[in-house]
Amino acid sequence: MKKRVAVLAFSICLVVCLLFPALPAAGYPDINGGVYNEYEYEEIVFLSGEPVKFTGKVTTSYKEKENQATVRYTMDLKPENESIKGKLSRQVTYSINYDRRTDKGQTIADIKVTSFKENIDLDKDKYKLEDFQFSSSRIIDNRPASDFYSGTWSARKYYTINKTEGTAVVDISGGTAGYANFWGTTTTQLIEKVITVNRTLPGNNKGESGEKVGWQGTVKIDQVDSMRKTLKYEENKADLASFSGGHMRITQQNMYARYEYDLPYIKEGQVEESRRQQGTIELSKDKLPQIERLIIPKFYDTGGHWAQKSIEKLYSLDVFTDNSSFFVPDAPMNRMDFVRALMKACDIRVEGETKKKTGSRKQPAEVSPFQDVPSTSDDYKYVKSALEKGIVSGMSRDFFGAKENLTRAQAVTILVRALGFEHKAPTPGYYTSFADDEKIPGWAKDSVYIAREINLISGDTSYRFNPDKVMTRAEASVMLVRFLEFLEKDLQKNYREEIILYNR
Amino acid sequence: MKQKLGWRYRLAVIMVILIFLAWPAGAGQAAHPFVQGYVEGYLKEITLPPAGGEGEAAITVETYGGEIYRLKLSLQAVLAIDQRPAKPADFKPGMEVYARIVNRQATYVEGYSTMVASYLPPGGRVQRGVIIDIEGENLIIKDYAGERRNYYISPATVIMRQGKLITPGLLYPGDRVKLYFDELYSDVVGRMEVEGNSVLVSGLYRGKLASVDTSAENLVLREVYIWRNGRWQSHAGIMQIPYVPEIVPFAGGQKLAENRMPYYRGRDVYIITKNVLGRERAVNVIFKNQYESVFNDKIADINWYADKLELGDKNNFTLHEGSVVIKDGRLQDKMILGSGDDVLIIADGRGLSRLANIIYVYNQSLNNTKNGQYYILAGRLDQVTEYRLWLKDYFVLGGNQWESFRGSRELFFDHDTAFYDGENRILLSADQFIAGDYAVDEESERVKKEGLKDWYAYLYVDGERVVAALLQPKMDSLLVQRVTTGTVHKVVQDELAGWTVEMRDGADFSPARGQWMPRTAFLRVNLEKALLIKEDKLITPEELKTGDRLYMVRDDFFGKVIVVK
Repeated sequence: MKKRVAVLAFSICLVVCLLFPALPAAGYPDINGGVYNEYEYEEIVFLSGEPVKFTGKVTTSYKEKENQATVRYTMDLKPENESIKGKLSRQVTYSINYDRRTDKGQTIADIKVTSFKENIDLDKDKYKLEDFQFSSSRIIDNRPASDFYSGTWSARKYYTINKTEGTAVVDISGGTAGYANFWGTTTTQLIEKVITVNRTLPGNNKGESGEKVGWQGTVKIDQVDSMRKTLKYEENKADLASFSGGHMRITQQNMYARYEYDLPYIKEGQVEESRRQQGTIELSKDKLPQIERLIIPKFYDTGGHWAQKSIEKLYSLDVFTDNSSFFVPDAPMNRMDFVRALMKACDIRVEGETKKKTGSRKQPAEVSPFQDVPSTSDDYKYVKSALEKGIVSGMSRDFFGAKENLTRAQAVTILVRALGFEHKAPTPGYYTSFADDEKIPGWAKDSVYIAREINLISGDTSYRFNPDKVMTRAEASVMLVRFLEFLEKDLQKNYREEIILYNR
Repeated sequence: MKQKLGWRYRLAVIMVILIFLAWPAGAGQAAHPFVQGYVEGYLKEITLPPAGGEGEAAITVETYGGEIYRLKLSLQAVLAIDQRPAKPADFKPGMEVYARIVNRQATYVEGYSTMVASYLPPGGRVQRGVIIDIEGENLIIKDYAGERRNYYISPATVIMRQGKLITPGLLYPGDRVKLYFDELYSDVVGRMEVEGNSVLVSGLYRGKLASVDTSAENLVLREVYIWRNGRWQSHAGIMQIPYVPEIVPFAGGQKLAENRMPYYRGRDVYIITKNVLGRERAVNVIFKNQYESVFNDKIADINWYADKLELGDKNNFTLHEGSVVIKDGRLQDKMILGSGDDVLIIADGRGLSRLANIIYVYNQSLNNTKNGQYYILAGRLDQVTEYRLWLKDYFVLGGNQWESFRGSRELFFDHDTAFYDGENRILLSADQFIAGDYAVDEESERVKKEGLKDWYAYLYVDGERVVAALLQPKMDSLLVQRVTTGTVHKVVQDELAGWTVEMRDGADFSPARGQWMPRTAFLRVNLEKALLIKEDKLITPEELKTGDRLYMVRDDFFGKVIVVK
């Protein structure tokens, strides 16, 4: 009995770990709008009533243990303009508590500040952070091919100015939107700050306090931290080589921040009520691209084929298991090959792969839910994971149809379910824009509608979808590559360009 | 006895016949679900054995008539709710269901749950694309797959650029937009988001390709020239510039793969850039194939079938897939070109065989599209009453030159109208304008006594509504005024002249030639007495930014009405 409980507990832990891989630290940028690469950090500080650019070093750390994670930022900065005397030192630790709702496929992340220390010296003024209130919560929808998240937060920072000369209060509110998948991650933060400063200016004589000054300013910050992986073809420089070229996977990471400020016009410490300082400052930092060379496709029968590029891209990603020198692009794609290719191309974790790493354990033989995919089969782990994640459901309750030809309706349904977008379709009773809408089976209709909306598919010359048409291996390869492009490019464009360039 | 039996026998036969006649054909048999092949009613229960366990999967349905049937679920049974695939747990007792029966087993079970069919939340359908044209309520966009789509905008359509509400008149062909629809099948746009300044072309460069880093998506050029004030000007010895991921380079009118660019090292290349996310990035790359020549004239004719363009000077050009058209600071679809457009063409070729690589359209108007109702008027203020004014013997800036009209023109204003007293350099509210002596009864004693006269005004109007007005006691000579366009290079507060803008890439409209004439030098224009308008609001010179595109009426050095486009 104890053994069974232990096995059960282990299985639950394993499933939790597999369903919810560790989120990258990049998903939790700080709320000051700073950008950084491997070498340098930049941030604009507005506490003095003037935008002052600070640059320097930052170290970040992200640690995750079960349902807890901590993100720590440590930075030491100086004004970029050397004529301004100053420095900024900051240490902030955020604690993230994950509430993993495996039954819903969602995670709630509550974020708190557990420690802080911040001192800013600007010319003769010293700002010390006395209190930092922070409340943030994020919902993460864990879909098979990608996580999508959205968060809201509110914060308040209390600074003292030269210990007793006054206070600066910064009210910060904002929201976060992002996604994370193997091919890209983007976190976009829209931050609104209201700065309220009340202080007494130093008097003319020593020990004498001068005039009281107060002002308010606002700063809107759009901040994006984005990573994407692209596949690029590189020709071999030499002719006398066994291959003419191959693909590489390039990881590019960029941070961008745009500050739009509205500050008082301060001259010699006095605020001019009739004028305001308004402006925009942009910061951008790129990390050095990371390059990984991939295996070289060597097929005899794909040269000159209209789908050659897509086939070779997928082969480079090792998604096709057979070692044949013939791809046979115009032969039908079967359901098993397509599901396996999708799982591999999107790096969707499959249970069997992790089990091997954790060592062997004597467990009772599993019973496959499908007669045609026995649990002893190499493909079983892909089918099982795809079934658990809701990507596939089989052609009937006990028949997966591994060797059956893949139809267009099936392929589209599998891809849209992997994205978790099928719920975005209208309520039933609608028709799609395809001329052969009546031929689209009910189980595929939502997916076909969504796939059309997100430009995964388009109609043929007569604007038909042809749901029952069997897909060739070439057609399926092109569709899969388009799906990867969606994960890599389309999501980035939507979460980065469209939020920042259209809305703000 | 025989007779009695015969009578009874006959009666029995008649009764049997009558019963058969009265009984609906096959009614008894058809009422049974196993016979009719389906059952419908309310779900009582759906049961499935545990995985690998024993027991049979079954469904219990109570028909609308009250009969209860328990059906075995076939192994191949398909479960659905409202046509969507469903799990047994999704079915709830009391739900209306339909079950198809084959061989006494349910092979398809569908439940009904959705109340509102075909419902989509407001804004639930999104379309992205680039505006090709706007005329009336008709909006034509080209989606990113290259397909033209026709939609409609209504007065209720919310249009936002960079988070600010704008009117349809402020849209341009070439604007990239996101359209949100509130209903599934509607072509009326509910909400439109328009890309901000990142849509504008920020630079046109020519240089020799030094190197390409496809992994970092960077180009390095040497001997770099920038197109400034109608000619190539030396810009930098070396310039590194990132390019956008979706770049499609062209050479000799043909598309190139990105990884073929390194083969063009040393070749002259034209780069068109935009400011995207804090960095200037190349969005178009065109390699020079043969020899460059630059032409400046009106388009005489375009043959879209042959993709040929002829200028007024009879020079012919071939348009290709990579030909770049720039108008209103934006990259445009080739189809916006038309006969009569004043263009500059940077061509590639030799002899009479030339490819039009870059086509820069000078034509600008106060109105961005045919939808626009913006005009500039000038004239004497004849009468001002509450929210109404009359101009007498007025002028209208039409076709980029002043046209005079006799008579009176009634216009309307409101509390959002901006009035600028150019004489005293003060802003007035609508009430101050009404109360002021800007339009007087010259026959009245007080007016005669105080020597008052009607003032003159430049009015920037949207239809019949005055958006902004510049008031001055005397009328300028409109004959010496000219319409000029250009891009803000810098704005300075000159110690002597006051706020002054320096513009680059300008063009003046020549009424004599009816043509836009490019300027070959920077142009300085004073803003102190000018009406400065941006997005229907009066702005201060401090709010002008480098890169802003201006359309202005100026009197030599002095700006009169300046509209930020």
